[in-house]
Amino acid sequence: MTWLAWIPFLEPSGTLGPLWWLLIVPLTLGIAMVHRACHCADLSRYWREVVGMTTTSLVVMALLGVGIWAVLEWALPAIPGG
Amino acid sequence: MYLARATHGIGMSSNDEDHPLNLPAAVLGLLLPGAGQISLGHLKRGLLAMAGVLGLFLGGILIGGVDCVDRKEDRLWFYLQACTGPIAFAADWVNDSYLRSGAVGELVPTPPASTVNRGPDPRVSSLKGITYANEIGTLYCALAGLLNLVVILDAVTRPPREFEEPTR
Repeated sequence: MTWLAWIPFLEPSGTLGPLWWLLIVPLTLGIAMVHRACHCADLSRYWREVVGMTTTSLVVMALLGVGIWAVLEWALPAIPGG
Repeated sequence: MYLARATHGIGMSSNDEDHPLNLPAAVLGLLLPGAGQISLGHLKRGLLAMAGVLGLFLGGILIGGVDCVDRKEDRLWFYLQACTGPIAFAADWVNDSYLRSGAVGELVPTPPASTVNRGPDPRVSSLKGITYANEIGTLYCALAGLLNLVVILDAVTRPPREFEEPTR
């Protein structure tokens, strides 16, 4: 499927290819927008808090991914008799 | 019905006064995300919540196509997506009317699920979403519904603007 043949909203977009995992970024941004809209005491700091929450969530998820990778690639194979 | 305000909640005022639940705001929030806050005078807060919820929902449909809102095939997901309000039912109607009926695209036979007693091959739209695009789009729309529940609960417990303490 090419971009020219794509009908937005009716058919799925399939052109992200191997970069599909980057869709976690707008997802996290949307969650942070709604969360801070409900819980931000001072809306003048809204966007700063949204960016902070988005960044924190993404960094924590990345660190969790690195941790799980380290367990699978290093820790488990290092167990004797494994 | 009254709800005691939590004094330690983030973004809550620090007084202990009780105030009635804003049930009409909950209904408005179910009809249109963020409308509950707007009806209470919190225009900017409501618009930001609306942008977040509708942005996620429309983003999901943009990624996965309208097929990711499907009341018949993905019933459990639809329960979550329906919390977004009428827009979810509208998306399901568009899916039924345009994709499932073959009005847009064409209906193609699917590979047989079984080689024994399989009956006639089911036909699905050639625009049906599959693989990660459909999965991620479905997730976006479901999260939009869940987040709208958060927005509705916020509207129910938030005091109207004229009663809210000014922020320092």
